[in-house]
Amino acid sequence: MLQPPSSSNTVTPYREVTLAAIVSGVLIGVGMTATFTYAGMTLGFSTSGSTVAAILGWGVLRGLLRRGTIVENNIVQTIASSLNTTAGGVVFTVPVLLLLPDVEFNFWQVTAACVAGAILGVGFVIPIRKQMIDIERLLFPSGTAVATILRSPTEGIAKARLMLFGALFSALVLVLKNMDKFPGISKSLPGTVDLGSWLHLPPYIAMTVSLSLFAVGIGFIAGRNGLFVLAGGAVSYWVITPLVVAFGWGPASGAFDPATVGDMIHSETTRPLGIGMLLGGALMGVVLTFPAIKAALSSLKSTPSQRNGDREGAVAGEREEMPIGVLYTSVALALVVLFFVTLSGLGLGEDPIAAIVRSLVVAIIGSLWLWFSGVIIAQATGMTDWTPLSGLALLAVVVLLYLTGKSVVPAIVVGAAISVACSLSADMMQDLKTGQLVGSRPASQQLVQLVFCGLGPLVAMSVMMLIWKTGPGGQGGFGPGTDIAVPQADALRAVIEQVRTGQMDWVRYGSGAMVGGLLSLSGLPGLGVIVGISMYLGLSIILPYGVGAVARETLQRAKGIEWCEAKGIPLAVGLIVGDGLTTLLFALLTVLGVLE
Amino acid sequence: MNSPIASYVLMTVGAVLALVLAAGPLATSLVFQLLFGAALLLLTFGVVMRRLSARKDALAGSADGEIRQALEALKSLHLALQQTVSECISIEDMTRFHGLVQAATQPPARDFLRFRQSLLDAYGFKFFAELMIHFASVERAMNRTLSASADGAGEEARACLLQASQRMEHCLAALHRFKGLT
Repeated sequence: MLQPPSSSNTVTPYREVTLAAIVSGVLIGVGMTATFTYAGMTLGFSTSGSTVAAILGWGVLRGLLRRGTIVENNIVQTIASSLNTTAGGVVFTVPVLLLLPDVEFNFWQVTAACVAGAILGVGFVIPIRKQMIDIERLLFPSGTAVATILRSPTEGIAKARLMLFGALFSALVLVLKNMDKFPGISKSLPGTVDLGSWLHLPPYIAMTVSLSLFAVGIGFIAGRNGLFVLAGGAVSYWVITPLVVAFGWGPASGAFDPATVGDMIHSETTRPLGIGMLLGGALMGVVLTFPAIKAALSSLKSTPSQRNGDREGAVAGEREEMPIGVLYTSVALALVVLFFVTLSGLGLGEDPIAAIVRSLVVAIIGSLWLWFSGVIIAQATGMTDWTPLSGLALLAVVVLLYLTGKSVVPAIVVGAAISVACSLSADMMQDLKTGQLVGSRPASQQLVQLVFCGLGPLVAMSVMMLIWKTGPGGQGGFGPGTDIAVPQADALRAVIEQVRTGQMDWVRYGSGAMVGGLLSLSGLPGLGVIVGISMYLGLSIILPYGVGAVARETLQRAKGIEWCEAKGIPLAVGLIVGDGLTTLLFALLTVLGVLE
Repeated sequence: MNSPIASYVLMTVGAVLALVLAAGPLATSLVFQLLFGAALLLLTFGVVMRRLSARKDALAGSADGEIRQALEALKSLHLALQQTVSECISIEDMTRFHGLVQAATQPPARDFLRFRQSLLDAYGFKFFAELMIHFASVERAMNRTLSASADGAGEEARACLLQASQRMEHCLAALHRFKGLT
C-alpha cells in the first residue's frame, strides 16, 4: 500500500535526483533489461518498460523506503527505462554476428559500440526536445500514461479504482491468452481473431485482430492520430494488397500461395513504402522545424538567466537544460568510439589510409544517420507510440554495408549502435514528456539518462552471451533450431543476403519518401510519419489500436474532453499497466523455467 | 465543394493513387512513372490548397474565432496565476493549495491548447514556436507546483507557483512583441 509523505509542509529541499532514486532505478533497470533481453530473443519483440518501472518505483520509494516524491519516482523510471530500452536494439542486431559463420565476435568491441550508441541516442535528442514536446506537443502515449501513474497516489480514489480495474482486466485477458504455457494446460484464449475467415474474404485480405488490450489503451491515449493510423492501415491492407494481387504485381506475379502472398506483399512492397514514407515525412518535418531546432541549440548555448528572462531553476539553483558542452562532448566521444570500432572491424589491410578514411566516413555518416533515425523514431513514438526500430535498423545496416564495402562485421556493429541509439532516443523523449507533465527539470532527466544509459547494453550483451554459452560446447545457445529462435536477427540475416546479391528495392523506399514528404507539408503535423507507420505495422495490431482511437473520439464527442481525461485515460493506463506487468511476470516465469 | 474538403479529397486521392502505383512495376514501366508523377502533382495541389485554406480560415476567424479564444485563454491563465499567487501563497494546507491551483489553472491552460492550432495557421511557425516554448515553460512550472503540493512540499510548491506566474508575464510579453496581440 502506498503511503503519502508524513509531513504536510516540509522545509527540506524537494526530492528529485536522490541516491534512493538512482539505486532503485539502476536495480529495477538491470532486472528488467535481463528479462526483456531474454524475452526479446525468444519472442522476437520487446516492450517499453517505463510504465512497469514507474509502478515498481512507487513500490520501492513509498512501499519500502516510506518516502519519495512524484519527480523522484520520475527519475527512477527514467533510469530504469533507459537501461531496459536498449535490450531491443541489442537483441535485434548483435545475435547475427554469432549466427553468421566465419565471423570473429569481439564482446568488448560490440559492447563499446552499443554504449557509444546509447550516449549518442541521448545526446542527439537534447536539441529536439523543445520541438517535439514544447512546440509540437506530441502525445507520447506511454509517456502520458507514466505521468498518470506517477500522479496516481494523489489523484483520488476514483481514478485509482479505474486504473486498477483496467490493470486487472488486462492482466486477466493476457493470462487467459497464455494458459497453454502452463504445464498440463493445453487450451487458452486465442491471441487473435480472424474476422476475414468469418466474412469469407480471400486469405490475402488481412482482417485478423489481435486481442491486445495494451494496443487498445495506447490507441485511446493517442486519440485522433490513431484514426490516421487506422486509415493508413486500411489503405495498405484493404486497397493496395488486393490490387497488387488482382494485377499480379511483385510477389503476386506468376503462381502464388493465397495464404502467404499477403505477408509477402507486406514485407516486399507496402512495408518498404511505409519506411520510405517515414523517412520522407520525418525529413520534411526536420526541414519545416529547423528554425526551432536552431533556436533550441542557441538556447542550450545561453546561460539560464539569459533564456526566459527569469531565473529558471530558482528553487534548487539548477538549470532547466543541459549545457551544450555536454552534448558536444558526448557526441565527440561516441564518434571516436564508432571510428575505432569500424577501423578494428575493417582492419588496416594493405592500404591503411583508405581504411582510416572509410572508417571516418562510416563514423560520420553513421552518426548523422543515427541522428536522423532518432528524430524519426522519436516523432513516430510521439504520435502513435509505435517504434519502427527494426525497419530503420535494417536500413541502417544496409547503408553501412555499402559504406564499408559490404564488410559485415563493422556494418552490424555500427548498426547495433544505431539501433541502441534509436531506442534510447524514443525512450528519452517519452521520459521528457512525462517530465513535462509532472514538472521535472529536463536537465535532471537528461543527466541521469546520459550517466546510466551505458549500463543497459552491458547487461543485455552479458545476458545474450550467457544464453549463447548454454549451448553444446559453450556456444550455439540460440538461433534457428533451438528454443530461442532470435527471429529478428534472422530477418536481418535475410536482408544482408539481399544486399550481397544486389536485390534492394530502392524505388519503393524513394517513392514512399516522396509521398511521405508531401503529406508532411500539408500543415497537419507529421501526417507523412503517421501514415508511414500504419503501412509499416501489422494490421492485427492496428485494428485494436484503432478501436481505442475510435472509442476516444466517440466518447469525447458524447461525454466531453474532461470526462475522457478523468475516466477514460486512467482506464486506458490500467490496460497498459496490466499488460506490461503481466508480460514482465510471464517473461520472468519463462526464465525460471516455470512456463513452457 | 468548399476548398478545405476539396483539398482533403485531392490529398487523399493523390496519396492513395501514388502508393498504389508505387506498389506496381514503377521501376520498369514509363506509364507507371508518368502516372506516379501525376498522382504526386494531385497530392501537391491538395497540400497547397490545404495550407492556403487553413490560413485563410484562421485569419478570417480572428475576430471572434479560435484565435480570439486562444488569446482569451492565455489572458485567463495569466489572471488565474496572479490570483492564486495572492490567495495561496500563505496557505499551509497543501491539499487545499493543490486543489485551488488545479481548479484555477487547468481549464484556461486546456482551452489554450485546444485552440492553439489557429495561431500556427494564421501567424506562421516562428511566432508559434516562440509562444509555445514560453507556454511550455509556464506549464512545467505549474505542473511542478501541483506535484510538489501533492507531495506536501510547501516551500517548493509556493516557489514554483511564483515562478509560473513570472513566466506567464514573459509569455504575454512575447505575444505582444511579435504580433501586438494581447
